[in-house]
Parts: sequence; structure tokens; C-alpha cells
Amino acid sequence: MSPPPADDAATIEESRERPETFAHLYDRYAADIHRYVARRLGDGVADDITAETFLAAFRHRARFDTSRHNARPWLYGIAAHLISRHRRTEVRGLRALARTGTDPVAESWADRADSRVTAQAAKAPLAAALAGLSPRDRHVLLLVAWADLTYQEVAEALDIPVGTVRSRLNRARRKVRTALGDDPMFVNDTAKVV
Amino acid sequence: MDEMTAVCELRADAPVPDRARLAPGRIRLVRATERTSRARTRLGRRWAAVAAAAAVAVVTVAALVVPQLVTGSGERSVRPAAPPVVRTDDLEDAATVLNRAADAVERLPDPKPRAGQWVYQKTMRGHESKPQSGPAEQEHWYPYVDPRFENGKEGDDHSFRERYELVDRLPADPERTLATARASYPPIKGESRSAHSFRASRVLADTYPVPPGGLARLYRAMATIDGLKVVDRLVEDARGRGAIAVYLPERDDAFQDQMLFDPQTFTCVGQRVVATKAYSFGKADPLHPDDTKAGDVLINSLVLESGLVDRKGQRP
Repeated sequence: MSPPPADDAATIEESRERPETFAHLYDRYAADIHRYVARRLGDGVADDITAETFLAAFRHRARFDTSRHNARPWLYGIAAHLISRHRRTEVRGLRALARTGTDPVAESWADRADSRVTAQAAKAPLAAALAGLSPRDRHVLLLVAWADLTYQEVAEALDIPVGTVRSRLNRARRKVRTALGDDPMFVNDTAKVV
Repeated sequence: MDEMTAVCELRADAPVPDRARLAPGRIRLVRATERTSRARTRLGRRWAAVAAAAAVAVVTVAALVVPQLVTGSGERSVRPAAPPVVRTDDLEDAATVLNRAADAVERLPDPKPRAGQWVYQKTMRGHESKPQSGPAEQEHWYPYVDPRFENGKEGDDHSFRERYELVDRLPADPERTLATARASYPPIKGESRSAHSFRASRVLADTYPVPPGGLARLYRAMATIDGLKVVDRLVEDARGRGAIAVYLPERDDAFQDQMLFDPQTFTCVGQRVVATKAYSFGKADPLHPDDTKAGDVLINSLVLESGLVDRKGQRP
């Protein structure tokens, strides 16, 4: 068995003739996608959404722009689309954290007695702010913060202009910053500079 | 701390899944890729079989897990008449087992699925040689009618409706039934006619909802496949219960697909993939299992519960 090609575009090109090579993309990125989904919706649905992400990617591989060598943003975009179907679940989890200080999403992978879960109480204002964002702004913010995508990569993932990424991110950050302004745990950078 | 740092720290302890956790999803993907490629390597062929067993294993039992079967309206179906108690040591050939399975399934009510309903399945894996780190039980919802998987759009991956209707139309003549099964699931290069019949029939039998009469005809046709054997002892199903294992021995085959039946009720209780000899998958593909030895149970799965429901997310 030959080693997988390092270039994602080459893998996808090759998968048009030899579909089984598409599994190499799974080997490269499934763990990242799984963790991202678990972080947004909980451990319980991460298996299915990760699998669905790659199945959808495989079925629509002809749409991948092979001038882009890295398929990671494209896969996150598909995952984001699937996550959107669970928007109410996500918001419900964030509101529960904001209201009770206990994070049902973190509970899905941590022991209930784990102190890390109860420590999430300090995150309540942040959770409330995230729950209050529009789905589109939340996607941009969390793809940058949790998936480590660049602005350009978020633009590719969500198929929007880079300028739109910037404006959505700025709006989301501003709302979160405002919400955290009331939180004694939070010290604004601007205040530190001054 | 700025706001981005605060966001980055939220749920930062989310675990990175290990490869065993990711393996079922990979198998689903490989199965999809295999369907679009008939030019397979030997290893690829075997993993297609493994994947097929993992993804749909079970299903035959679906129609047979009677206490859980309900109609879309929530009306609970009736139990079949109690099957006769039999001595497991009477079971020396596969044809006997399959014919008794046909007798048992014939008594079940037709689930009479309707367009717009969802197929609910609760599946499990267990009692495998290498422990799974992921959840042992999973729930799934599928649309009964799914045009994406009809009229050949996804090759031999048929919608639940197409499979129901296909089984319903199976003729009483075993040869014609096996020919229909083979036509529905094309041959793999190098596969014997018996192996093709057994594989295609298992996939077809492995569906829910299923018309009981059609499934009985399918079981009776499978009983005529040359070379089918029964493991000479009870094996463990995914719940650890004793089961009769029907299989087709094939020379030089590193893996054996087994269909499991309850020794008392003759209902299908899942499928297993068992290594018949030591096998190395090599190191190039890190998500494949480590090297296996003869007797290793690679996949052991069954459907715990099935039913037709009116909405995705609803349970019977």
C-alpha cells in the first residue's frame, strides 16, 4: 500500500478514479472535526456528524476546488452546515451553562463529579453571549477560535467573502467583549494597555 | 484576558477521539467509496465486507425484535406464536437453521411502512476481540423513502423503500430469488457464485422494515446455497448470548462473515466478522486494526430495536 499523497487536492483528484483513496482525508482530519463537533454540540452526536461530514464530502467531491490544496476548511464548512441543523440544541446547551453554571456539553465527556465541569460556572457570561450571537456570527467566531482557521480559510469554509468574515468576527467579538465587561474574571486588553 | 482567549478556553478540555472511536465512521466512508469502485484490491474487498457487516449487520433481527416493533401510529404489534423449543445439537446443517428461521419470521406481522415515516434503529456492538472505545449502542433515524438512494442514484445502496419492495417481490423459486439478490448487489471480482449469493442475500435480509413473507422466501432460498456451514458450537452474539453461526467457508479467505441466529427462536441476532488466520494490515493505514490472529472477532453487531416512527428523533 503506497503512502497517501500529502496534498489534499491530489487525494481528491485521485479519488475520482480510485474512490477508496478518499479515506485518507478521514485519516487526516476526522479527529479534528470530531473534537470540534463535540465541543459545539457534545460528545454524543460527534460520531454521527463526523461520519456524515465525510460522507457528504465524498459525495460532493467533484465540487471541491482543487486549486486549494488544503481540504480542511472545506470539511469544516460541511461540518458547520451539519451543526446548523442542531442550532437549537447548541443554544439550549449554552443557555443552560449561562443559567446553571453547569455545562451539559462538557458533561458529555467529563465525569459529572469532575471539578472541571463545575468550574464552568465562571464561563456563564461568555456562554450567554455565545447563545445570543446569530448562527452566522457564531460559526465565524468558533471556526477562528476553536478550529484555528484563518480569515481566508473561514471564507472558504462558509463560501463567503473575506470582508464578510472580518465584519462578522468583529461583531461577534464586540458582543462577547460587552458581555464579559460585567464579569470580574475578565480584564479587557484595552484597559490593560491604558 | 481578552475575549478571544476566553472563547478559546471554553470547553478546551474536549477530548481528541482515538482511532477506535473514529473507526466506525471510517468504515461507513469506506463502504460508500467501495460502492463506487469495483476495481478493488483484495484488502479493499475484505474491508467492504467488514463495513457492510458493521453498517447493516443486524437488520435481519430488526423484523424479529417483535416486542419493540410498532407501527407509525404507535400501535404496538403483536407477538408471534412461540416458536418450538429445539435442541441445539440437532442443528448440524445451515439449511435446517435457515428453514427454521423462515418458519419463525413468517409468523411476524407486516410493518406496512408508509411514505413519510422514519426508520428508527438502535444498534450495538460488543464481545469483540478488540474493545471499542466508542459508545456500544447507537440510535439512528433514516427516512423510509429517500429519493437520493433510489433508481440507482447511489448504485447498489438502495433506500429502505426499495429494499422493502424488492424483498416483497421475491419469488418462491429459490434459484430466481438468489438471482434477484445477486442482481441487486453486483459481484466482487473473484467472488464465487455461492459467496456472491450469500453476501447479496445477507445484505438484502439485513433490512427493516421487511415483509415477513418475502424474508421467509429469502431465507429458504439461502438454505439452498452450496457450501453453507454451521459453526460446531454456539458463539457469542454482541450481547454475549449463545448464537448459532451460519457461514460460507472460502479457501484462502482471511475473514469469515457469519450470520447469527438465536438457538431457541431462530430469529437472526446479528452478524460477526471473524478472522480465520493471522493477518497483517500493515502500518500504512493507521486506522485499520492492528494485526489479527485466527479467531479474532473483528465486528459483532446487532439491532437491539427497530420501528417506524413519524418524526426523526422519535422513538417507538
